[in-house]
Amino acid sequence: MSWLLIALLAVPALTAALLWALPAGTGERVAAIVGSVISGLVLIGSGVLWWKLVRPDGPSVLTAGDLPRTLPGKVHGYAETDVSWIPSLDVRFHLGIDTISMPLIALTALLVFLCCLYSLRITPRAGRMRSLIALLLVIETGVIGTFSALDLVLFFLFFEVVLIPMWLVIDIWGDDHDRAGRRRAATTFVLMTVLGSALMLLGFLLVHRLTGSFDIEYLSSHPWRSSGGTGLKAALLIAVGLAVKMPLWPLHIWLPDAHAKAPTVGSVLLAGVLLKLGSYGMIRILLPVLPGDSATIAPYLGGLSTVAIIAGSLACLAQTDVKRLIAYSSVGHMGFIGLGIATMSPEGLTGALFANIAHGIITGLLFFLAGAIKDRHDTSDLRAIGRALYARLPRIGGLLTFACLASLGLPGLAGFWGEMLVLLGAYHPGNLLPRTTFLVFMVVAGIGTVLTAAYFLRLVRNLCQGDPAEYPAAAFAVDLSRIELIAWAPLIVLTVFLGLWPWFLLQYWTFL
Amino acid sequence: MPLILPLLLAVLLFCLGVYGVLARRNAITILMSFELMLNAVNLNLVAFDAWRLDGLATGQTLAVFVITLAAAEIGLGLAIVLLLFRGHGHVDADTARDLREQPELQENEL
Amino acid sequence: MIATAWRVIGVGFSLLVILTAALLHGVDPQQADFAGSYAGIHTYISFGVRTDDLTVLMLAVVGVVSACVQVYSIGYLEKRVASYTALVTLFTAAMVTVVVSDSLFLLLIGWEVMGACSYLLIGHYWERQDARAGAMKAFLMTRLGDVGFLFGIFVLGVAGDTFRISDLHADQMSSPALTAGTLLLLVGVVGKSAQVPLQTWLPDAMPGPSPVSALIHAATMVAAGVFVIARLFDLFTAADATLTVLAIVACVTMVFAALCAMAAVEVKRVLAWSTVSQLAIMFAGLSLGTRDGRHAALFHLLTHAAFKGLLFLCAGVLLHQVGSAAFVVLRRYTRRGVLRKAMPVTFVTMTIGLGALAGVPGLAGFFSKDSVVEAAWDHARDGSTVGWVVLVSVCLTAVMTAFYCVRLWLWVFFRTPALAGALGAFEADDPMADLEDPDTSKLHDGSWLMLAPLILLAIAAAGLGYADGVHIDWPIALVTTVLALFGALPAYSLWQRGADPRPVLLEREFGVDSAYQRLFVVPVQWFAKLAVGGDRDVIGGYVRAAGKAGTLASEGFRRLQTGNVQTYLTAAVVGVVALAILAGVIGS
Repeated sequence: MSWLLIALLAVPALTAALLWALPAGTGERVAAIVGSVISGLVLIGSGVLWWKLVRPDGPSVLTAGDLPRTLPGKVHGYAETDVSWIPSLDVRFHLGIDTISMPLIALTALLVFLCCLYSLRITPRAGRMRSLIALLLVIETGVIGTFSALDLVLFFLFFEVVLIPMWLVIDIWGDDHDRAGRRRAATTFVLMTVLGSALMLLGFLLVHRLTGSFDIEYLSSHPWRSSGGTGLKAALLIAVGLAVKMPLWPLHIWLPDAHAKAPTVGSVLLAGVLLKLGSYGMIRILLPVLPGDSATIAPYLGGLSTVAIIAGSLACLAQTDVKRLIAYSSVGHMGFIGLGIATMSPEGLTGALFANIAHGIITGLLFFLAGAIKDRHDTSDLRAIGRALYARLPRIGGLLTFACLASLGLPGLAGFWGEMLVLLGAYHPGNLLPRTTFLVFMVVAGIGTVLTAAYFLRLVRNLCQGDPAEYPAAAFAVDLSRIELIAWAPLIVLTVFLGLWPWFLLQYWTFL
Repeated sequence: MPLILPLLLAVLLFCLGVYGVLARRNAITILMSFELMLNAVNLNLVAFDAWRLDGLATGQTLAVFVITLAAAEIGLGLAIVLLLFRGHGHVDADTARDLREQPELQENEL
Repeated sequence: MIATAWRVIGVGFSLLVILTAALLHGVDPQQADFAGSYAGIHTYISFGVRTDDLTVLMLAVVGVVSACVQVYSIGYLEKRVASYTALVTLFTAAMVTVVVSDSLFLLLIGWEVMGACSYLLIGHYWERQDARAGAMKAFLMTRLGDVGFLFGIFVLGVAGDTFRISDLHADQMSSPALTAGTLLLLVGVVGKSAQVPLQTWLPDAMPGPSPVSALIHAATMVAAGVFVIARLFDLFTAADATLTVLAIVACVTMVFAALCAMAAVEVKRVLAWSTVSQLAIMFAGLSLGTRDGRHAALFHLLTHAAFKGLLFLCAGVLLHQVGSAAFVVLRRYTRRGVLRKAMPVTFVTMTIGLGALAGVPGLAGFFSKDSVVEAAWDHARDGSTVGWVVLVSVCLTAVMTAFYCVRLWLWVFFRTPALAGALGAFEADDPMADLEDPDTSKLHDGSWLMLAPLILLAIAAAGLGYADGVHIDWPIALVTTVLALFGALPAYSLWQRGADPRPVLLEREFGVDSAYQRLFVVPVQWFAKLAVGGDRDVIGGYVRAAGKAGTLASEGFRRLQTGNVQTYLTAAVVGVVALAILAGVIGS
C-alpha cells in the first residue's frame, strides 16, 4: 500500500501547484470545490489505508486485544517506501505508518477536508481563495508527511514545510482589524517554531553521531540505552525543539496570538493538527530512540506540563477574548499530553495519544464555533459580543456549551479518556521515574481539571447565558447555517463516539 | 628556475591588484586591477604546475579555466561600468552609491 | 412538535426503566461485559453491566420518580421544553447507567454526565443571575469532588488489579491502598451528595425548575453518593478509618444542615437543607458498617425519594401558582387563609410529605428513620463509639427535622392567630410586602398532569413504610415520637406567638459560603490575573526583547551598508588576512 501513502502526500501538493497555475479569475471560483474534492479523496484514501493497516489479515493482527506489546513509540512500519535519497549524508526517503501515526493522519485529512468544505460558503474577507486552499493543501502534505516520515531528516523537512504556509495563512487571511497584530503573531509563530526546529535538527545530528543512523525504524529497534553525555544533550535539544511546537510552558507564548489572529480555518488546523506534530515527535522519536535520557528529562517535562495545565487554565480565567481563551485552553490540554508522555508508562502514553486525537476534534470544533461567533459579531471580544447567546443564536450557543463540556473532559465525551489515562499513567509512572514526584503532578493536574471546568463554565456563563432583554438579537445574525452544520457534524459525532467507544482507538495502542 | 621567483612576482602582481581594487576610484581601473589579481593567480598555478610536473597539467588546465572565467567576468564588469556611465555620466566608484542603506524607505516590520 | 416528541421519549424511557426493574426483580445477580480494551499491561478498561437487588431497587426508585417528574413537567414548564425534557431524560439515563454499571469507569461516566445535566438544568432559567451562579457552583463543587473520586478509582483499580466492580474484593488489596482509595471515593461522594464541607452548592441550586430539584434530590444525583457506598459496601466496611470519617462527616452534616433548614425562609431552601440532612442520615446508617445499617440506609433512601420528590413537586405547584416560594410572599396569601383552600390537593399531599419527613408515626419516614436508629442502637450496644455518635446525632436531627417541618407547614398554610393579617416574622425580608394584596382569585391546584404525580407520590410517602414488612421496635418508636414532639412543640408555640427568631449565624449558614469565596475564589482570580500578567510581561517580555535585540542589531549593521564597493572589499581583504593569520597561529 505504499503507493497510497505516497499518493496521500503527492495529491494535495500537486493540486496546490495546479491551483496556483490556474488563471486568477477561474481559480478563485473553483478553488474551494477542487480543494474539497481533493481533500475528500485524501480522507477516503486515509480511511482505506487505516482499514488496510488494521484489517484482520493485515500487518497488525488484531485478535480481541491481543496485540504483541511493544516499546512505546517503536515503529512497525506498514506501507513503507525506503529508497536512498542523499547517500552522502546518509539520508533516506523512508516513509511508513503504524497504528500510532495512522489516526493522526486520518485526523489531519478530516480537518483539512472540513476546512475546505467550510470554505465553500464561508470565506475570509481577504478573499484570494485560490491561494488559501492551495496553502491548506500544502499544509496537509506537510503534516501527513511528518506523521509518516521514518527518517529524522525527512521528518525535519516535512516539519518545516508546514511552517511557511501557516505563516502566510495567518499573515494574509488573519484578523481584518489588526494588521500589525496579525503580522506580529505570524512572525512570532514562525520565528519561535523555526528556532525550535533548528535545535531539533541539531539534536538529530547528535543522534546520528551517536548511532550512525537517521532511520527511525532502525533507531527504534536499536535504541541508545545509556544515558548522559551526548545522548542527554541530543534528548534535551529534541525535547526543547518539539516543546516549542507542542507548546510547553514557558515556550507557549506564540500560541495565543497565533490562534487568536488566524482565520477560522487557520486556527482549526493550527490547534487541531499542528500542535500534534510536537507531541507526536516526542512519542515517535524522543522516547523510543533515547529512552535512558528521556527518563532523565521526563520529570522536568512532567513538571513543566503540570505548570502548563495550571498556568494555562488560570490564564483562561482572565481572558476577555473568546479565541484567545480557546487558544489558552490548548496550552492546558497539551500540558496533559506532555504529562502523559513524561510518565513513560503505557497508560500515560496511550492517554497522550488519545488526548491528541480528542483535542484535535474538540478544539477544532471550538475554533469553528468561535469563528462563527466572530464572523457574526465582527469581533471576538467577549464584552463586545455581549451575553445571552442562547437567546440570540440558540443552536450555536448550545453547540458551544457542548464543545465546552467536551473540552473540560466530561466523561462520556472524547476529552475524558485522554486526561483520565494520563492521570492514571502519572499514578504509576514508568520504572525509571520518581513515583512521588508524579503523584504530586497527578494531584496538581487533577486540580487543573477543576480550573478547566471553571473557565469553560465562565465562558458559557458570560457568553451564552444572560438576560436577553439587555442583548437583543441582531437582525442579520442568522443561527447555524447548513454548511456549518455539515462541516461540524463529523466533529460532533466523533466527540460522542470516541467518548462512548474509546476502544476504537485504544485497542491499537499496546505499549509495554 | 627556482620556484620562488615566479611566486614573488605573483605576490607583487596580486598586491598591486589589491591596491588598485581598494584604492582607485575609476571603475575601469578597478576592473583592470581585478585582472592583475587573476593573472597573479594564473602565474602561481603555472609555476606550481611546472614545479610539480604531475603529468596531468592540472595547473595549466586551471589557468586556462581562470582565463575563460576572467574573460566572462570582465564582460559583465564592463557592461556594468557602461550602464553606470550611461546612468550617471561618470565611472567613479566612490560616488556610485545607489545600493547604500536608505533608512527612510524601510518599514519597520517587527 | 419536537417538544412533544421529547416528552413522549422522556415518559417512555422512565416507564421502560420501571419495566426493567420489574423484569429484573427476583432475577439472580449477574453481570456482563460488553466492550473493553487494555490500556496498559494490567489496565483493562471495559464497560460492564450487572443486576442485583440494589440495582433493582434503584431502578425502581429512579423510574418512578423520573416518570412522575416527566409527567409533572408537561404541566409545569412553558418555555424551552424540548431541551429541558431531553436533558431530564439524559439525566435519568445517566443515573440508570450509574445504577446498572459494573465498571468503575462506566459508573464515572454516568456520575459526571449527571453533574453536567444538573448544571444545565439548574441553569435552565439562564436569564436569572442566581440560576447562572448556582449552576456553575453546583458543577464546580461536584467536579472538585469528582477529581477525588477519579483518583479513588485509580487507587482501588490498581490495587485490586481490575476496574470491574464485581471483581473488586477487599482481601486482594493492601490496607493502606484500601483506606486511601475509599477515602478518595468518599471525597467524590461528599461532593455529589452535598455533605460537609462541599455542601453549599445544593441550596444554591434551588433556582432551577422545581421538578428538576425533585429529580436531583429524590432519585438521582445526590442519591448516587449513597448508592455508590452501598455498591462498594464490602470495600468500605474493610476500611475502618474511612467509615469513621464517613460517620463524622455524616453526623456533622446532618446537624449542620438541619440547623440551616431551621432558619431558611424559602420553601425550596428549607427542603434543600433537609435533603442534605436526610442524606447524612443515610450515610450515618452506612457508616455503621453493618448489614442492618446498610439496609436501613437504603430503606431511608427509598422513602426519602418518595416524600422528598413529593415535597419538591408541591413546592413546584406553589411556585407555579404564586410565582415564588419565599415565605414572605406565601404569607401574603396565607394571611387570608386562601392558600390552603385554593389548593386542597397540594395542601394535603404536602402535609403528608412533611409528616413523612418529620417522622409522624405511620408514615414512611417514621419507619425508615427508626430503622436507622435501631441499627445505630444495635451497633452502639456492641460497644461502638461510632454507633453512639450516630445514634445521638440522628436523634438530635429528628428533633430539628420535626421543628422545621412544622415551622414550614404552619407558616405557609395557616394564618397566625397572634398576628392575624400581618406578615409576621418575615416582614423584614421585604419591606414592600404589605403594600398591596395579591390577587387570590386565580389560585388553583394546577392541572391533573401535575396533581397525579403528587397523589401517587403521596400514597408512596404514606405507604412505603410498610413495604419492608412492619417490624417496630416499640421503645425506639416511642422515643423518636417523643423527640419529634419535642421539636414540633417549640415550632408551634413560636408560630402561635407570630415570632420566628432566626440567629444570624444560621441565617448566613455559618458563613461557609463567604469563607470559601475569600479562601478559594478570590485567590484563584488573583492568580489568574497573575498568570496573564506573567505571560504578557515576563515570558512575552523575553520574546519581545529577543525581537527587539534583533532589530537593534540590524540597525547597527545596516550602517555598514555604505554602497561603496571598495569599503566592502577592504573589509573582505582584512577579513581574509585576519583569517590567514589566525590559521597560522592555530596551525603553529
